Amino acid sequence: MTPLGYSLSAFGISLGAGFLGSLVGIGGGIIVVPALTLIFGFDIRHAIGASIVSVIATSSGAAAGYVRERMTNLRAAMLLELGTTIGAVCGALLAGVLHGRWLYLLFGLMLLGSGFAMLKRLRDHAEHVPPSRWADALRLHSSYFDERLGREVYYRVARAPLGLLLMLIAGLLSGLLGIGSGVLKVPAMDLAMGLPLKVSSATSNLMIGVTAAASAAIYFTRGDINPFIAGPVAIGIVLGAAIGARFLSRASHAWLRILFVAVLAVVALQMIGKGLGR
Amino acid sequence: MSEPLQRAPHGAARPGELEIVVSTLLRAGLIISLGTVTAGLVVLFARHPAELLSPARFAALTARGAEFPHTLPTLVAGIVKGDGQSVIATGLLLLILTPVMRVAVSFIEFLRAGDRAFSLITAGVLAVLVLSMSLRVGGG
Repeated sequence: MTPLGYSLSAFGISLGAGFLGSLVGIGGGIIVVPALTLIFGFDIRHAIGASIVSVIATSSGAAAGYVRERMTNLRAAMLLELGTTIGAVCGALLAGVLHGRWLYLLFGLMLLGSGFAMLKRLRDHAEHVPPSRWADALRLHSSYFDERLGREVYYRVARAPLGLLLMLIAGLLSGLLGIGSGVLKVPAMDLAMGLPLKVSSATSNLMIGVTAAASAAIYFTRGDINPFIAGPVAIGIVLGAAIGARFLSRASHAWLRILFVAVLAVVALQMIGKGLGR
Repeated sequence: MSEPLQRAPHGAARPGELEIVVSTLLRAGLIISLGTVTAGLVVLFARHPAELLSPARFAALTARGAEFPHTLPTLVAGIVKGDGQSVIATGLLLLILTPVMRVAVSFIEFLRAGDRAFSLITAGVLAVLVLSMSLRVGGG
């Protein structure tokens, strides 16, 4: 491999990861870390470092659009970011002391879990939203314009303390593995706190940026973000995600989802295999 | 107990002031930081064209213990020298700072709106972010 060869192939792979990720509704981190370790043989901490900055880039790009469309609940995001950032700092610190083998194992298990979550299509939205003093006091209830229904939809938020706790865990995993962990954030808001799925997904997108920034700062000062490795990845993934977002609405292609889950499962087993030392 | 209807019943409501500021800031931060990263890659390759196809150089750039700037003084010194890696790293740092700026702007907006609870919550998030940036954990 040569410097030019790496830059071009990493750019190409990340372009594909960003494109595919935006089609099936995930960030690219899940693809980037296995690609950098399994294909190029980089140190897993450098792979996680490159992934965490590309996660920020994808989040900023997607969130800018959602926020302008008023799909994002900015107040709920800010409250829950207390949990995700604290979790992320702990995760990044933990990643610095854990043996690489554990990171491979955890990453593999996380991939399997994400695959299951995608298959189950977490769509059973909680209909009954219990009253919440916290959410009332902090005025977390809001509304968004639903294009399909053609009207403004008002919703109430519940279980803020439980949401905060779940976000602490999501942040920990994000900081530890260099992923956005939207797979955890969306159900925490959708199922536990009663936010509509579209709002949950938009709000998760915004929160991912701040969560990743908290751990990325630690990876950066620790010297785990190699600019030469991470640069082409960040550029590729943002362009790929932008193209993907333009291409088609994500819910329509069930076969794409199934194919993606199959790929996730294969990669998961490879990562676990590497963690176990083959 | 429903929220008062503040917006027109038909059609999407316009984004509020905070929404516009946050959205613009995120987009600008992304363009500036990725532009810097691209410029850094160009500088890196333009200054050493002979190394473009050198496997030895690739190994040196990506090795486990590879040397690259990751502190503010080395970044500044590197940029002054016209070092491509330092320019890329600066772009990545700007990328990391973009969401931090979003929180800072939200803090100012909540303060201006006189929202005590949310000024406090936002200050808390900001404090965690500043802490993470100032933690100097040893090189691993």
